[in-house]
Amino acid sequence: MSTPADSLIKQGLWSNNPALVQLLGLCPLLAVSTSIVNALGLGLATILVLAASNLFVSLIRQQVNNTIRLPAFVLIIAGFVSCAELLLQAYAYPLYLRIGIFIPLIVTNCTVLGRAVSFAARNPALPAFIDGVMMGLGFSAVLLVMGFIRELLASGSVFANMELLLPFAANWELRILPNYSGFLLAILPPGAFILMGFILALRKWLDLKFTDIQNPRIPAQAISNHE
Amino acid sequence: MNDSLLRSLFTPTSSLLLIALLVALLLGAVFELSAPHIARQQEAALRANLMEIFPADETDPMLYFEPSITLSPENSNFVNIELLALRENKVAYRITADGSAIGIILPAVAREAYNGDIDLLVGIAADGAISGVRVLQHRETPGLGDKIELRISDWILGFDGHSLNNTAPPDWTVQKAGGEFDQFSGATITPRALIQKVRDVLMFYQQNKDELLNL
Repeated sequence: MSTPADSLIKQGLWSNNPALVQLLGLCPLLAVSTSIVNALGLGLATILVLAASNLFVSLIRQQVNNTIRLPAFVLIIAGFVSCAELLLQAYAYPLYLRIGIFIPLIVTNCTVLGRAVSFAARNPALPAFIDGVMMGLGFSAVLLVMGFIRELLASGSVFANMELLLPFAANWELRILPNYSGFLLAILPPGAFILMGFILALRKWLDLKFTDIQNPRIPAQAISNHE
Repeated sequence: MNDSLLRSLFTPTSSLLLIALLVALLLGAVFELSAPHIARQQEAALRANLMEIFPADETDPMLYFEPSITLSPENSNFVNIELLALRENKVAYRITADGSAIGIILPAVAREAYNGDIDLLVGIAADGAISGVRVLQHRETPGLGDKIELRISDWILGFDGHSLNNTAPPDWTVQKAGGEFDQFSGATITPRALIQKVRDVLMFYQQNKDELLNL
């Protein structure tokens, strides 16, 4: 069983997006998306872990029988998450101080285990790797959108503190709303849930709209008149 | 025990063991490669933090932040260690330039805040004046009590330069109560707890100055 690459891309980014359709990994998604720099940091770590664990799981899929599937996959994922944590500490220490406690949570991000079990364990290495990258990108895209909106609503500016992750990005902070007094709800957990609700509704609406264009629904009356 | 049962136990166990070994190997390699970077990053971050509390000439090669004294909540060699209200062993940093002590950074805990403990570091110059105060950890209300964080408000800089000589002990409270220090709107308990704890740290320093600087 193999799936063409463009279908994998479409699935990861849109039609089977882990955050918007599978609704997996909401805990890190809602907790970390308070600013763009946090979102980008967690997004990169998640892409890395997803791609690496999918590839590894796919390579050893013949050696793993059903009895040990879950412990083996969890072991592999935990190993890669620990690597991501070490790398983040080594190369982006200030960011690690801010989002470090959420990195081990990637282990509990069901997207990673979900893709390992439902895709990587049944497919060759290349599609599994592409699937991991695309699912990671899809998750990161939602993280970034939420980070952008929440940072903007909370502080009136975006791209603050980007130098924590990218040393050359020291003056990227962009003030969009001058004299803005801040909207606290946006960075608190309830704000994350409310925003997530709006994003889910928007995705659903866009989905329905495009399905309508591709396969226009014919009113029931029209059919009966035709007969 | 028959052969097939043995095999059904042995095969998965050995492959799980193999996977565990592979993952351990990978983790070990990444750890070995990143450990020196991590140590350097941690040291740089700590030094930058200490430098904020005790501003000094960073280029001075003879400037040292020595993690020289471990303060324990009890059984201490110091007078009135309970002024610091520590809950566990903490390290005090003595600052030396050209071999002589020019100040110290003391840890303390403000326990009478609005929501739980506030962990502090207080930098004191040798003459007893505050060089800087920073909050390490707190759980005060976002939007109200969290103005004690420098990234939110510069309130905490109001301590700089104060000492027991230029500010009498009764004046170490919020202006609302006749003191020297600003409160912030909506929160009085948080700043009051911090101000009193900083005063306690200064009193501890005064009573133990010789031991702290010349150990």
